[in-house]
Amino acid sequence: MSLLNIEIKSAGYEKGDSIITDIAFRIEQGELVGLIGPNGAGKSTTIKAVLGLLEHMDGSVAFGSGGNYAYIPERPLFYDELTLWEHLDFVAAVEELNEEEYRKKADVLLDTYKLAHHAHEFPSKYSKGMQQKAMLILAMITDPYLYIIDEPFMGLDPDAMKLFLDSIEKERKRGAGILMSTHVLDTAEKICNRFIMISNGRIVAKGTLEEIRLQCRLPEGSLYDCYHFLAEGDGDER
Amino acid sequence: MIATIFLRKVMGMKGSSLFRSRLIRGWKFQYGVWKTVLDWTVMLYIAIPAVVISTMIYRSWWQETPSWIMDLPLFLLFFAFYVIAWSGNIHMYLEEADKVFLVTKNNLLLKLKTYGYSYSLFSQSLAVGSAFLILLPFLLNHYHLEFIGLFALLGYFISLSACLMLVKYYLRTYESRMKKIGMGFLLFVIFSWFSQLVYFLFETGHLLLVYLVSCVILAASVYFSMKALQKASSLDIGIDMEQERKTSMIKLVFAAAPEIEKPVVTRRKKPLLFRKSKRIFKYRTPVTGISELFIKVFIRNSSYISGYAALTNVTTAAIIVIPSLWIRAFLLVCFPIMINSWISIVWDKIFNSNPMTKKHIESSHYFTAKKRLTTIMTIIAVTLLFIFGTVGSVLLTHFQ
Repeated sequence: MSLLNIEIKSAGYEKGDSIITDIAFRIEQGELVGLIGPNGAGKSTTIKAVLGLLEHMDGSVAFGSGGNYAYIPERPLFYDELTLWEHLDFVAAVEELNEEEYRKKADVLLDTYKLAHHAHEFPSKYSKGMQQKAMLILAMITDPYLYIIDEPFMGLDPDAMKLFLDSIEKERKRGAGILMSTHVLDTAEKICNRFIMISNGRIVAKGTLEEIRLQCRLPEGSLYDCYHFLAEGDGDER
Repeated sequence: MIATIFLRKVMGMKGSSLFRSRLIRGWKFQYGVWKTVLDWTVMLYIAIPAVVISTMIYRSWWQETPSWIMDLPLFLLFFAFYVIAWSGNIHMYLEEADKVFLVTKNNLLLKLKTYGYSYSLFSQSLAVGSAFLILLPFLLNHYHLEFIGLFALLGYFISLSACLMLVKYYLRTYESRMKKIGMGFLLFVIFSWFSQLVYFLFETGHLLLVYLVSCVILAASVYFSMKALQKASSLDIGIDMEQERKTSMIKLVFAAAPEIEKPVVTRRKKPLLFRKSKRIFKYRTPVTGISELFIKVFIRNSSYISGYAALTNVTTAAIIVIPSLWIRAFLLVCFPIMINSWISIVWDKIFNSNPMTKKHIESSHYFTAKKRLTTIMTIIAVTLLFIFGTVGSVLLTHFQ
């Protein structure tokens, strides 16, 4: 069974004004899928539709993992009044994680991401890179089956980027599915198993890099070449 | 595109018209804030009774001096004016985008800052003048001050305000919070000593000296303030001050109407209470986890805690001051309902604002925790109301 099965006929913020149309794709176990497209193409709207945050949606979103998913937003979002440890404590409480295992895992994650010394500080006061790492720790603490990640590379330094890539690779090998929206095409080309290219609110190409090359008739083209080819015909940002 | 329009619009503007447009926008913002507060708190419940009661009380002060002022020394009123003099701030009416678009337009920026400073001085003088007007019945009828003396005091406090506005401007440049508080306290004491000296001059009849001191302070304050504003670094300070002012206005709204946008909370890196992320509940369950999050967010966010205190205090004061038993009974019945619905709104706001918690708002644990916490906090507020109301009523009866 797929971890995520999306069949959206149309969705948008206002009734009768759909931003995305005919978006359908699946995410399987151990798969990293890149959601690619120019600014305003409908990537974030697709993610919002998956999360059920859109007011108007005609279609279905089915989670095959019993809803055990983690969302990492483009702009890290924390409670200004809680420390990172308290955020972790909250997640552990509501997800009913085993106390001892959770603490052990939290310590390992905090050490790995070099945030152990900042665990009792407010993450809203961290630097952007530290905030991204904190979001990732909060997502990973529950061992989710599915990750939905929006623009993860913004503000990460090269070391943090490597750490992030290693982490999602490890999670992928564990069997988790990952849907990742990004603009960093050269990195996406190297790490993603499949791509979904969106333009003007519609899927314009999907599949492996080989399949996308075929659809674009660019047999030697890079992901960027394909992206450029597909985006070229578009009008202004929406 | 927007930036280009902004730039074209601003470049074509004179300092005065740019200031005027920002001032009007600021007034509209403040008007919006008040409108939101008064919308929510139900005008009939607080604002209108407060205006009517204050007018009646003020009128009675002119007709007959109340007994409580009899034993108060004039110096205490003088100290109250001193505290009010600390309330002013220099507003430069700068915006974040000025850093990009106006940073090379020194003349335009300086004019904007100058107008902003003049307006700040004017409004602070108005605040000091209003304080004098409110206490005028006592100053004239009880302390028997003459107008020449009153003007000397008024002049001194306006000059002192101008000086303290500059002092506060410089205090803002300290990065360390502790240093800022320490220095602020020290300056508060030093200026109070100086004001005591002025009070001594006033009391011994050296009014000419008071006028002279005021003129020197005012001239020096304006001169040094203008020098400070000419520095390029004042741009950052001005923007920070403006943002803080807006945030404090939003905090005011949020205290009474929590459904409105959430303000910036704190500059601290670590919490003051429950340091090291200490848990409130020893045994962790989803219900205690949700409750703990709410309690910590609530007590660490000054808007929530001050809103809770303000609603309880205003009702307590109304119960003590309002003579009619019927109105008191009405307030007592309404208060638990009002405070309970206010806590519920804060609760929804906290849990709806973050995807991390939003995910759980349909679980049964969430509803159990919400019911438990809103009930407990309502009981605490009602208990406080009873304690303070009883103590206040006893004290009032004792002093009447």
